[in-house]
Amino acid sequence: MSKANFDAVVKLVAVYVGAAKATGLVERRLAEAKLTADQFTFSDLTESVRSRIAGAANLYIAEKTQQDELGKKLAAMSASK
Amino acid sequence: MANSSHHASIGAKIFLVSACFSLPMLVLAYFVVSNIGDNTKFAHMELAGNAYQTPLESVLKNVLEHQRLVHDCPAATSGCTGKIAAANESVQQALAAVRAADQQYGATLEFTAEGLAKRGRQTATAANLEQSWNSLTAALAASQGVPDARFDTHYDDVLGIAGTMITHLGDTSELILDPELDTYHFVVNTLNTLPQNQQRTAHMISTARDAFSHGAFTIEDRTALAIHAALLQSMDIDQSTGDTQTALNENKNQFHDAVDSFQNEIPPVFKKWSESNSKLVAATKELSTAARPSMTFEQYSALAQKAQQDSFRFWEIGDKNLDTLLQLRVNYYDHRRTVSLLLSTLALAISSLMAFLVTRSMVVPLNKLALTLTPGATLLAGSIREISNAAEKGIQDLETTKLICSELSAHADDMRATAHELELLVFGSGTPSPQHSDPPTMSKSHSAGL
Repeated sequence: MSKANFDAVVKLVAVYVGAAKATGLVERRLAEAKLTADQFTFSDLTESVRSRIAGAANLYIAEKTQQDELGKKLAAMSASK
Repeated sequence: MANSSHHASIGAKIFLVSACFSLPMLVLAYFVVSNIGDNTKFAHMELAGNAYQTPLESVLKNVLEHQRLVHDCPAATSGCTGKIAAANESVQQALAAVRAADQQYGATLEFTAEGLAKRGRQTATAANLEQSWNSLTAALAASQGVPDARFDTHYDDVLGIAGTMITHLGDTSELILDPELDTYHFVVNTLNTLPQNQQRTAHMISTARDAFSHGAFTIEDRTALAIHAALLQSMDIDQSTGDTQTALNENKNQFHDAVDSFQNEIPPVFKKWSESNSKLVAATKELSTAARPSMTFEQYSALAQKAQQDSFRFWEIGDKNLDTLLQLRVNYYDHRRTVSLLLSTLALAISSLMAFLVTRSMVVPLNKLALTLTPGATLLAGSIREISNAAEKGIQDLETTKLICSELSAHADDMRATAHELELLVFGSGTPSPQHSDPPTMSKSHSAGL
């Protein structure tokens, strides 16, 4: 299966938290939601999953505006399913 | 410089260190190649000198023949006019060849006004040689081909200029300083002994002609002949025997194997030359001592001509072989230069590759550490911020706490793995760090606990 959707989310998160941390961060959040990178689709980006990803990412983001921006982009990604 | 290197990455700094060590290698390679180039240039100069001497030898040969014909085959005699005209034509062709050689190599061999003046050889030019010959032929034409004593002075002028030109090219082409034993000894033949021998035999004919013209030899005639015989033996035959034999012996001990053409072609022409010159020595001694000469001038002249012809033949074969030996040297040094350049490039490429691999092995864990530390610091600040907010509000947000623990635990694992790589980098794989220990990873225990 393609990991394109997973990679897209990682790529977005990496912009804010850095490439070194983004992959692990997203993997852990998907594991908590019992999702795998291979089978991940944008429809899996539910409110709960988005909230967990954004919440963890926010720990690495000092700027509030950037935190909000990531939240919006994740929501837009979810809407593009 | 100090400021820019302060901001340079560690990879750039290590590259700079490697470049510093490569610099002496490059400089040494430059000097090695440059030194080889000097040797090649040296051999090329010698080849140029040899090329310039070839037409000069032709001038010597044809002028001496012309001189002999003018004396012993007077123009009035049947067939002699044609022979003298042919000899003159041969001299003209040889002079044209000298002109061509002068245009090609004159500047290189310093046949320039400045180069000649520095050595007090201002008259040793191709133009002067030609002019001297033309004035000789003009004087000869004016006398209607009847020779007198003045002509020999003219011939001596022409031969003197050619001889000085040979001396000059020997000096400026470095032939005289040849660095290899076989060619060094052989150059003595081609540059000194044989040209000297060719002129000596002409002088011997002239002396004998003069002596025979007296009817009975005077004491001066006998003394002159005895001196000629002694010099021919010691300065030409003995000298060349030593040089030729040494050249043949040393030819086997050079950077190349014995050169077949040199080993096969030189001994026969040398033997022939040596034998005919030894016969001339014996005949000259006999003339200088016998109460009555046992031979006519014509017989003596024929012996001397044979010795002279063998001398020119020896020179031609010797010159050809000298060119072969010099070309071998050029090829050898060209090959050495190519090999030196290739090996230097290879050594530089290998050292650069090793420097790159070592640099990368050091830079990769450092990069990982740098990429982990910065977001890690933000993570700690973010975690503290969230915990403080929750504490201030008096709420217990389990989800946020789990996230914080999960991320801190993952960060701790990253740090531990990177620190381990850093330890390997600093202490090497053979030496454990003083406080090396692997505490259990926190991610699972914390996740499980929360």
